[in-house]
Amino acid sequence: MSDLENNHIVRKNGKAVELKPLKTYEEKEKYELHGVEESAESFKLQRTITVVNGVGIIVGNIIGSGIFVSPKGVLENTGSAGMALIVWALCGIFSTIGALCYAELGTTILESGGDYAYILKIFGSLLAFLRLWIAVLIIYPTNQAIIALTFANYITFPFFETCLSPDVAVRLLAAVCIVILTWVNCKSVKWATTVQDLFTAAKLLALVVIIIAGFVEIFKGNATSLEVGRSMDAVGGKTADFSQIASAAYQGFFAYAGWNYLNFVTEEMINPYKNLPRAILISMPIVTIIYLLANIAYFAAMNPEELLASNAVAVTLGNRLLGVMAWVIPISVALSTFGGVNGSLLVSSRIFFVGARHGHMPESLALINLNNYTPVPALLVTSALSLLMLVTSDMYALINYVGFANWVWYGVAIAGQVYWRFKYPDLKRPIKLNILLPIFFCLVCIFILVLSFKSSPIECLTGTGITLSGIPVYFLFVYWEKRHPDWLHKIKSDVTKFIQKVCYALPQDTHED
Amino acid sequence: MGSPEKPIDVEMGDMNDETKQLNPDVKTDSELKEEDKEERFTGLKKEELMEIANQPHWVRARWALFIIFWIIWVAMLAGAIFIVVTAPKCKPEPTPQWYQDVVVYEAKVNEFAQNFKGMEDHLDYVSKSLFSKAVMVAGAGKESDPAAVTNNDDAGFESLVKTANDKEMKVMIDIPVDTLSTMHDNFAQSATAACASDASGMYCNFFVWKANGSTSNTDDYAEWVYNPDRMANYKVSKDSPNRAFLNYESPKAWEFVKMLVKSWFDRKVDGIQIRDVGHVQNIEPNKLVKDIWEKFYTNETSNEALFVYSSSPNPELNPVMLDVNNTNTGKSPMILSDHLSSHANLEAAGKMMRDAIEGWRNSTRQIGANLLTPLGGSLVETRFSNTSMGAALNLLSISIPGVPVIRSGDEVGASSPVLTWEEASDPDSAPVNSSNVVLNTVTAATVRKVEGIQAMQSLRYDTRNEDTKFSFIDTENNNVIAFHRKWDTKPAVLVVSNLSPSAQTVNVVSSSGLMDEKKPAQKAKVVVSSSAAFGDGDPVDLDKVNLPSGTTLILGA
Repeated sequence: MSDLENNHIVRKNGKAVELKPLKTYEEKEKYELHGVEESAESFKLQRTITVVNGVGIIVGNIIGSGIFVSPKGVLENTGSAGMALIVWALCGIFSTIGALCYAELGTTILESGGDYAYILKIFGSLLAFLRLWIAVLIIYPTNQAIIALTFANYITFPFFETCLSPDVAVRLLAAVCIVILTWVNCKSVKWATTVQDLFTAAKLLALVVIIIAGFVEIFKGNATSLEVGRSMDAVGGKTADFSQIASAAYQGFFAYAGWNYLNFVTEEMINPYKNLPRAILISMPIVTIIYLLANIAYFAAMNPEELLASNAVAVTLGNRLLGVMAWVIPISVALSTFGGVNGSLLVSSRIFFVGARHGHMPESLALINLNNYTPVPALLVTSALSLLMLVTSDMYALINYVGFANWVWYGVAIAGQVYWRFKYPDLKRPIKLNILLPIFFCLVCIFILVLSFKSSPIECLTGTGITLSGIPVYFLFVYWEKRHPDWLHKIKSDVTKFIQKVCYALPQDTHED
Repeated sequence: MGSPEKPIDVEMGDMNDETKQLNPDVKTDSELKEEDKEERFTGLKKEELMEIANQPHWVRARWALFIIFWIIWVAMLAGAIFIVVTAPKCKPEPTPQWYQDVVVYEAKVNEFAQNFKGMEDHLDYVSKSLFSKAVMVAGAGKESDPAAVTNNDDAGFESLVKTANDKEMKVMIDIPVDTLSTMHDNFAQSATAACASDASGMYCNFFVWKANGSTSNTDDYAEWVYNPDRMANYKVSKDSPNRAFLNYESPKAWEFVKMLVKSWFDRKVDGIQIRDVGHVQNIEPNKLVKDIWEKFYTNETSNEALFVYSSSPNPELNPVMLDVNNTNTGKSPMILSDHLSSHANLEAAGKMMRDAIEGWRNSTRQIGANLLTPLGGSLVETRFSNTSMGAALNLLSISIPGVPVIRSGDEVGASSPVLTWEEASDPDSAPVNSSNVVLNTVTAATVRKVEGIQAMQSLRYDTRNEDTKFSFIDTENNNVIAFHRKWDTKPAVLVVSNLSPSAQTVNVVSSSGLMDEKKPAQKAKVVVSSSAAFGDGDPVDLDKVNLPSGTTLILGA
């Protein structure tokens, strides 16, 4: 064990690294238990996220409700069970490559905020602001709202099995879910990561139940669509050509979305040099294998045609194979989505926080509560935006417009990684991938973008428009900030002071003690 | 996937010093600017905050906010629970008889797979590839007697029934009740019966006899044949001259038919299809059906099916009279009609089909059954010059209210009803003479109809209650039939079909059709289509749907 493992890395805005030894094992344990550092430390978000928490964040965010509800996007296009499984595996491997690129970026640029932080560092303020703009304004709030709605739908499922749950109750329960999880996140990072671990474990358990049920069926010999030689039979008369496999992969990549989430909280990880790549390397194979096995289980339980026709695949499987235990499935989906909302709140608040720290968001969002060491204002704002999305009816249209947008920024961030390889070849990189991997992943991003624009050009153009609408905002509120009139400065200062008093919060220390 | 140049588990011990100088020149302009900003934090310093924020009124204010937060949270939770508890429960799903909510596959044993063993081997095709959970078996010839139908392969039939039941499938048998083979012992008995002292219970009047010489007037479906033994004429079916018409005036004949039905139920079939009821002699067809129904089906514990087929047109069969209990989930005979295929490829096909469906629905609440090709008739593939008609008809017959009865061969677009199977093929693989387009259309629709999958439960069953909506859409185009189906809160579907001889464009935007936020929807997506020109999920403008001749689309929001 190297000396460093007993050390506590402290880092200031990516400018310097200082190691503070945690004197004794007991002390270290105490710090892990309470999530609060010694008072001698500088005031900032604490390093509490272990490698297990990291796995919980990645796995818990990738596995949302999709695998339970409609894993059919891939099958629809591939046309055969066997090809669908191949595409699922390929998407898993490609996403792992993306995650590894982020592992390199995350250990080279040791700052929270994920692609925002990397783009800021590599390409500067304007591009980074646009990334922030689309992420915090639309992507994360809608994402949280949609997962929360799925949660509410499934938690009420036992009461309304054969018809739709009442809309108002669903929205209220979604709000209840977002609000309680916001409180947990405000209260303690440790609590939030524990919730994340528990619910990730619950969803993995549910998937294991599904997988076992499916494999029992296979060993009984009932899974005809999986037999070798049959598995490539076309479903619905479609033999997949290249463009359809591409569309299938496009759907598959969305199922793996979330592999970058741990990079949003790098600054809060214990020993990120080791634990960030470790968590990524543990999580991605878990997710890929679980996805493959779950899909095999679905094919074992039903014909590909039935899978395509079902709008709640796991529920159909449960009703068929689990008998009296069928209720487990909707409850598991509810638990899974509850954990998903938690994870999303955890990371999205950090983007606000990091953005505010760099002056791209109101400075009050960069405040940390003095007692709990949590970014309370940022959490409250991301939560409030999600609640706002819950009451708008156009939420699904919004997510359609910007669904592809993340891929632009993954591509930009990883292109930046390649660019820095040439600009700063001697930069210390704890992880250094073969240069071909980031280049390959950039091509994957371009491929996904081309497909997005091809399949829904109007939505994508609208989404681009929404992103570009950030440019005037940037110049008005960020670039010309110094030229703001005094009265505006005064208002901003008063707002900050007010929020400080309400949230009992301070910005993090700017200098090492 | 390549491996990192350096092992991931890098030696970290030396990280300390080097990262401190993590490329000083990496500091970009934006970072320099930021440093500025950080110095200019406009809020309270730590000491100020400690002092002001710990003043009692700020402490109280934070407590108040904290309490309000929880009050709102509890209120939202309580509100949600209240709504869930008080919301009207889902309407109970109707529990139809098994034969009112099923897809039936009708096959002659010799055409489908030569014998019962072959049929048994390919049951998975019917069940898993077609999602049909009931097989209607017909004998090789037009037979009704068990010995003749099974061709003395009683063991094979028994095994078929058992295997099917193990697969949770039903087996039904098709028996003609209008005629009996002249090879049957009863015919010789009747031909040689001493009729002078005929009493009821004797064979003399078992068939329809007529003194020689008076054979001039006869029905168009029948003819007279001279029998030298009796020196009289007997009435036979024009299609099959070796079958003589039974005379239902004779108690012996009646008894024989009842015994026939019983002998099939003794063989554990789950249902019987009687035909050709329209041509039964000297009895009112409805009375025959009713008598059989009352004799065999009114027992509390029985749940067997009685399907009734009569060659089209069948004005004799009156659903109202057969409507035994005026509900749509109670036990009732199932009357088959083939009005769809008889109107296809004609001008104003849509209007005629609509009239036929409306006629049925207006006269009875009972569930009916739809069939494209009757046993012995030529398959849809060969009936129309336009080969896309077959898939379109199949899809429409599965999506209209009622139980679809698929004639073997129609579902694969075969031109001959004799199916050919690849040797050693898998149990659920399709016959070799399949048209994939037709088979896939049928499969895509039957999976939704039978499995009751939530997305399309509105297709599954026609309750005729307030919670079912079935409405025709006025397209002002007699060639096209369009209707909207919705069940309670399930997603609705819109079915549009052009079975006329020419291409049509229709506007199906309607307040009785698909809705989008309380307004008639302008766009929809293809759920199932009978034509390769429309892929699943393709968007369709509802104000101008272009339908080539022989196209059926199921559209959803």
